[in-house]
Amino acid sequence: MKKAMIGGGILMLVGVIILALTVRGGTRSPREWISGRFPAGGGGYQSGQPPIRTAGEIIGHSRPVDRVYDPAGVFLRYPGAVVAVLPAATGSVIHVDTPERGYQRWRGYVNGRWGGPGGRASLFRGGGPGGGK
Amino acid sequence: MSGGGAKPDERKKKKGNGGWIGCLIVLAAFALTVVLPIGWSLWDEGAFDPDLSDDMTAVALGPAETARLAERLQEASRRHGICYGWEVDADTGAPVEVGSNLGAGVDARKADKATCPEWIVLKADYFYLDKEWSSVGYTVLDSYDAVQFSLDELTSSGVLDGTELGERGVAQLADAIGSLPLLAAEADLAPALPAQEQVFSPSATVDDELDSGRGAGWWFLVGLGSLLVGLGLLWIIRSAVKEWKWRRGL
Repeated sequence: MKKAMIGGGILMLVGVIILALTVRGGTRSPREWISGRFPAGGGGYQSGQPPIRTAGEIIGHSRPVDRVYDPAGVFLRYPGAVVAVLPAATGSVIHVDTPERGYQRWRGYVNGRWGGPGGRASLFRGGGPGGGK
Repeated sequence: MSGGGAKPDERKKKKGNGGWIGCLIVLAAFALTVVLPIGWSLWDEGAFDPDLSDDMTAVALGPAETARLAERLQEASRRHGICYGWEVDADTGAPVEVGSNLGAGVDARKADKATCPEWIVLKADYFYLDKEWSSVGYTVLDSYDAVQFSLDELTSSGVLDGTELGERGVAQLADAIGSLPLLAAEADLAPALPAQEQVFSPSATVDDELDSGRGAGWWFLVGLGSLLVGLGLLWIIRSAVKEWKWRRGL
């Protein structure tokens, strides 16, 4: 019984650590940080810097799991949020949405890269020629 | 009482079996946590691919991707009066890929002045080694004499990383090309493009939705963690039940 308690306990501990790191791992949502860092306005939050620089600042604080740099703006995907950094008259305007709402809202720019028919992304995937399966 | 003498031997035998089962569980856990992930990684890297020759025809961007890039650059080009394009050398032996808002294979630099009064082109030079891209160098070429475009903002924030291409090799290239109109607006060469919500996309269908964002690796780790917890729990419960039966003389 003692051996089973030790062996089983170690297995469970390793399993719990793997689960905790996997589920909790990744990146923090930048929602709160953005609301504290940038003043509200223009239907979102305002930045005095252009989109690429503003997006760089947000990425520096919280690394997204995916991103799209489009002529219309920068779109960052987090596990719990989609952040759009769009050009404004002076600087940028930042929109923060839930992933589903953000995908619907900016689908014209991120479609094919973050999703698609049946939820399958098809464009610009992988590491290039020979980059794995 | 006559049969009672045999029972302790049987119990000892069963106890011995329990040790073997424990060892098997530990071996299975080792295989799942160490051997399988390493094997998966090697397979993913192509270590078991039968064809070890380099692919001399591999290109960076497929037809759907070049069409998407050209489409996305068209509106910016129209509003800015600047042609945007790309030149990609995948270094595989395949022809250099060229394209622009004018279409796949159309070099903005060679277009007539009426079509492209000014142009900005992203040049990407890959280094192809051992069947994969090992690094890339990006350069912005343009028709302006006094403007110096820089990708430093993208590099410093890790969006472009010439040496760590990973699974984002192609996405990085698309981001670099997609950034050109933003860079032009930053340099005050053109107005920023207004973004429109829910832009109609001809490729969009009714079931167009966001992917889960969790790749096979995430699900594998969740499954592995759950399996280990389950096995550990099963081991303890099994041992506890056996001991309980032994104490009760069952």
